[in-house]
Amino acid sequence: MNIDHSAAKVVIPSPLHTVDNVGAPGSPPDSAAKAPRRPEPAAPVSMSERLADRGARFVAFASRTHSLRQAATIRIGFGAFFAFYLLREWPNRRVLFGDLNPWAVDMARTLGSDTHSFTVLAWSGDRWWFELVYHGAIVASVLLMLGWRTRATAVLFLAGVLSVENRSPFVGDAGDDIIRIMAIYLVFTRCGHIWSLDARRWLRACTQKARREHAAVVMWLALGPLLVFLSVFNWTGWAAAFWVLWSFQGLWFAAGRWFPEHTARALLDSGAAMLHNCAMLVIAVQVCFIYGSAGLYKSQGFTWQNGSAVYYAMQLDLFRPWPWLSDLFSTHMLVTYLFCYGTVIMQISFPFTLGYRRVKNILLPLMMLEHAGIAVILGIPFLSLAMMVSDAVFLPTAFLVRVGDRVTRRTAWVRKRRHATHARTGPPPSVVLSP
Amino acid sequence: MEYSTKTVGNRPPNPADRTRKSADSSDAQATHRGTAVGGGDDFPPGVSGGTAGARFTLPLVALLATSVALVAMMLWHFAMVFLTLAPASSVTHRYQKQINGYIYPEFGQNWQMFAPNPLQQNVAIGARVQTAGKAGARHTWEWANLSVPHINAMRHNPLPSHLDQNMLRRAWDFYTDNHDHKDGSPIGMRGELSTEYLERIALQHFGRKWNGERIVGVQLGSRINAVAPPRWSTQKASDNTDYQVLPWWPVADDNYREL
Repeated sequence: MNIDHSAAKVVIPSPLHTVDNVGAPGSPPDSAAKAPRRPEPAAPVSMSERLADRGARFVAFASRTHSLRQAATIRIGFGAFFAFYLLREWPNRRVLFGDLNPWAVDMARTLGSDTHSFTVLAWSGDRWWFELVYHGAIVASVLLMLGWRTRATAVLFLAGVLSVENRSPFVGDAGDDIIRIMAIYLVFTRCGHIWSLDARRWLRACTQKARREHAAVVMWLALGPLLVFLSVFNWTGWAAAFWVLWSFQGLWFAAGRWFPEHTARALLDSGAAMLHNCAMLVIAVQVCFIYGSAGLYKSQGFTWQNGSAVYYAMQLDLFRPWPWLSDLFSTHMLVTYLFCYGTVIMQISFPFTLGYRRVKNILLPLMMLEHAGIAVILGIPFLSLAMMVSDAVFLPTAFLVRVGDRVTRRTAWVRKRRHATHARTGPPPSVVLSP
Repeated sequence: MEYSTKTVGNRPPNPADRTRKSADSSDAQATHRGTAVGGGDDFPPGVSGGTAGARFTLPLVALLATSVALVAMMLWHFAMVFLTLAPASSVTHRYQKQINGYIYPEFGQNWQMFAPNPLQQNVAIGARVQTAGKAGARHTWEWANLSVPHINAMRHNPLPSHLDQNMLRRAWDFYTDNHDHKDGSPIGMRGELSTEYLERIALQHFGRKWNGERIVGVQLGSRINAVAPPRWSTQKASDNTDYQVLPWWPVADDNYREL
């Protein structure tokens, strides 16, 4: 390689990008497409320059926020899931998680001192505290679904999920594991950037006169004393984690308030985008882990091998809400055989089909359909719902764009009818989309 | 400016996108400005691409370091989750402490529902109580099936409650997992807790008094019926029913706290 350090560096103006050639979703900046627009370097470039260029390209790719729609979808999904779950268990809440629990508060504390799991419900066994936390968790779930102050609400949602789930570790099933794990991941995503009240507010701030963000700062300040209380009276690893999240939020507010134009603020923005991208990847890989391990463990069972596992599952009293339906599906040898092998093959192969867009897009609705079937036949609606929401992280962007546009248009239409005004909805999409 | 129409084609919007838009409007809000400060369209500020003239600026180094740290943490997480899900091996054996230290409690997971084999038996939990009558007479009452009310509550219910589906089942599993299979003695703190949990679930069913007399003892047991093999199977249906009866446990007011 001919490296000429003495060669004068030619400064090439960065090519002007138009909006439509910034790159496809999830792909690095396409250098091939831009090549004709960029003049060839006149002088050979140094190794350091090449490396810096590579690094810059990687950083540019990594600090773009990917999969925003998928993040918003699972945010809505998990928020709705948990609100639905808590409302369903509302009549049984005091026995399952509250002050009438056979798993008494002191028992929860004894086990908690060994497992170190986080739950604010162990602080007190009083009814008022339980009701406050339980209903607070419902409110946090609904607000997360709506995307109100999403960054802070996601943390409150996480605290609610952990508190309720860890209060009674012996009433949950795999569905509870999923929501607990996903609630943690969700905190690190930018799940509120679209399809949320936050997005609507940002949009208004862009079009109307900007207002100061008082509510967010007040909420942030209010969470501070809560954290102090948590740290002083119940110091756990979680308190440290919450302090870190709180500090970053504060830093972000400070940056927006005092040095919005500074490079450091932009770097914070890039860092947050990188964190989001990693969290989305972790969610996707977690779903693959779920399917992969579930499928591989099943493949070792002799009932799955001889095609009778589905029959046995449907004969269990606890998973037989509709006996006639269970019998309909489990009395035919070929049907159960196909279900057994279909399930195992789909679960094991799922992670490997993700590289093949077409196969994945066929398999995904199939899996969701199977979950829906299992929800009804085996009577495990919440586990199935949690899996369906998790699957949604793999929904194709084009599909989500279509759904989003349709919903936006519908709501715009409703709003137009209600207010008989066009002011806030802006021009119809066709106007903007046309070149 | 309709939000959803900002994107062209199927590209998800990104902060840089929004930045371009908001930079256009003069009264763009500060918190919304994102990455517009300096730099090219695609690159974060202080970072420039192009094979010539690219330098390791401070922002570039900072962002590279951040991304490397994040990727390392991500890979660590993947490794730990993988090892906690993978079957026992010499690797998991040697690093069990580190794996558990990272995974538990909050990332604890187990996706072996109906795997490797679904349960092939129906377990019914029963309980009976002993009461203290007048003049110190002890009465032992009939067995009550604790599972039946739960199964009835779930039948024809599209949304079965965790109370019916999981509580008794998992309490029983928790008990059997934490008691010695031979002599039935509790194993450690979890053994004691599981005994108390099961006892309290049964007591919640009966209440403080039974047939007008104070409850002074409770006994639990299980009845295990094997599910008949499918009719196309050559396996012979087992017609025996297994019973497991736990010892009598004394009942005091303390066992009823919070119930």
